[in-house]
Amino acid sequence: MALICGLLISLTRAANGQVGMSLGAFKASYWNHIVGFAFLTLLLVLSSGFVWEQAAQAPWYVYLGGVLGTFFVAINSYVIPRLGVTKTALLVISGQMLVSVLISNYNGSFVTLSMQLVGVGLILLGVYWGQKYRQPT
Amino acid sequence: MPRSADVLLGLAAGILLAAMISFNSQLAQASTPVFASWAAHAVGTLVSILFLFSLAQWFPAPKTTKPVPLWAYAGGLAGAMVVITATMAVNSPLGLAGTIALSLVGQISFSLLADQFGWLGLPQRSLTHHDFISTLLIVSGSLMIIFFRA
Repeated sequence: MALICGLLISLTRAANGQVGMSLGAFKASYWNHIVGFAFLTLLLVLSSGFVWEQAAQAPWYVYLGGVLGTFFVAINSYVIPRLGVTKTALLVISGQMLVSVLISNYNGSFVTLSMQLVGVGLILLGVYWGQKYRQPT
Repeated sequence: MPRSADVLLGLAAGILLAAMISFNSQLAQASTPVFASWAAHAVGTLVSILFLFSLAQWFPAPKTTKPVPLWAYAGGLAGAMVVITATMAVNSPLGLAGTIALSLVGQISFSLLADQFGWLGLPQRSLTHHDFISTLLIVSGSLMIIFFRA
C-alpha cells in the first residue's frame, strides 16, 4: 500500500505537469484541486464522513494547508517538464527532508543527531552531484 | 529561467510540502484523514480560482497549444487517492517511518521509469549513471533522516 501511495504521488505530479505544459502551472493546480475536491466530496457523501464538529476543534491555521497546496502543485507542475520527473521528485524530497531535520524536536541523543547530519550531508551531496553532472538540454 | 532557479524552486516546493503535510495532519488528527484532504482541496480550489482571476496574468502562458490529454485531468484523482493509501499504510504494521520510506521508494522507482521511457507525455530523458548516483545519495540520506527521527 505504501509503494502504491508513492506511485500515485508521482502519477499525480506527472499528470499535473502534463496539464501545466499546455495550460500553465496555475491552471494545472486548479484542475488538480477541483477534480480531487469533487472525488473526495463524493466519497464523504457516500460514507457520511462530514465531521464538522470535530473539524471545528482544530485551530483555524491548519486550513492554510490548502493554500500551500495551491502553490505546491503550481510550482511542481512548472518544474516537472523542465527538470524531469525524477529530478523534480528528488528535489522536493530533499527540501522536505532538510526542513524535517530543522523542525524536529532534538531529543538530546548524539546518535540521532549525527545520523541526521550524515543524512543531510548525503542529500546535499546528491543535489550537488545532480547539478554538476546534469545533462545538457 | 536558468536551470539553477528550477532547482531552487524544486527545493522550495519540498519546503511548502513539509509545511502543508504538517497542517493537514493536524487537521486529520482533529477530524479524519479523508475530511482533512477534502478541506485542503476545497481551500486549494478557492485559492487557485482567486489566483487565476488576479495574479496569473503576470505569469507567461505556455507557448504550446497542444491539447491536454483527457487522462491528465485525472491527476487530482490520483492525488486524492494518495491520502487514502497513505492512511491505510500508516495504520498497518509499517508505521509512519516505514510508510514514508516505502512511498519514497515507490515514488523514485516510478519516476525513473517515467523519465527513461517518456511515460505520461512528459519529455523522455535517458538516465545516466550520474542520475543513479545522485538518486542513491538523496534516497539514502532521506532514509537515514526518516529512521533516525528525533
